[in-house]
Amino acid sequence: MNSKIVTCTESISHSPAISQRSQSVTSSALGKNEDRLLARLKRGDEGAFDELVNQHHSALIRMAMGYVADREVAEEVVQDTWMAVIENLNRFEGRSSLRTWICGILIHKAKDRGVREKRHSTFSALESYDDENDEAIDPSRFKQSGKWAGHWVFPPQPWDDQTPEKLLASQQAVNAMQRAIEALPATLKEVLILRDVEGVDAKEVCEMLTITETNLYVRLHRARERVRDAVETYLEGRKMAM
Amino acid sequence: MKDHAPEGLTCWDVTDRASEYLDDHLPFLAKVRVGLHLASCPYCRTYVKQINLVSSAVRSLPKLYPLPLNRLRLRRQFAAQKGLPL
Repeated sequence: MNSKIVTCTESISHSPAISQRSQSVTSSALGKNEDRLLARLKRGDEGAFDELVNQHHSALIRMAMGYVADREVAEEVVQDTWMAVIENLNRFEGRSSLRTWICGILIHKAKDRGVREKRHSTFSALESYDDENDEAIDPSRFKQSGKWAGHWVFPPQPWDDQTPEKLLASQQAVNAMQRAIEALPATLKEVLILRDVEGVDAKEVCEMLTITETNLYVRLHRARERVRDAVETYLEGRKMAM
Repeated sequence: MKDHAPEGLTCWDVTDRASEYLDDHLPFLAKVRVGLHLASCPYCRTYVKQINLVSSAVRSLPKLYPLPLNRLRLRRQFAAQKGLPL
């Protein structure tokens, strides 16, 4: 069993600790590392700014790609975001984490740019495509009737000894994941990037996107499932070719 | 399959809750029920492991950096804003 599952199982008896941790994140907003980084940024430390850019640039580009037509425009939107960060850094008071603040600026600018590109109708189409009544996983993989309705007909095959490191060592697997992420509608992409790539706390993501936690998990799971499905297709294709 | 109680959670229910389970976001009783199902269902264990693996791998996808010219512009803007020599 992997470490995350073990952690979840162990934490059943530690839920108060979890809620305390959430509260402390909410009240101080900035972690110690971010606090130090912010102090260096405010002092004008150019190395700190490079560090900040290196930390968040990937996530910002991937998130912007959900709203605008192509990578080139996404680069422009992210560049504008960094410019806004530089301009407003002295006014940032730490009410949210630095990361949340930067992602908030990006989302605002990317949406704005998407609308200006007259892609608004496309976004509506994508959002309706991401119908919350749709199933995350293909229903045909489960029995539809009888005593065992809702149980697997086509269960997932174990990925042998795959680990994140092994998966990432395969350029084809990485490409499959990147393509799956790129193909996600903006609503799914933003939650996947914020939660899994940037590691933003669930409550913060909800505040940033003005969605409920139930909504967040419906979207997050749908996004993770689409990436899992892409990896499954890649691994099964590789097995059949062998 | 014979280990599942028909009146318990179905595999479909469990797969739907996999992300909430992994993020420790389920209410206590729901978490216990999912945990019990996972203990008896190797297929759902496989599924949850795969979702967990994908979630971890996504975090470590190759990094993207600004184009060199864009990086230079940002450095200049930062230096100008902070009154540093260019």
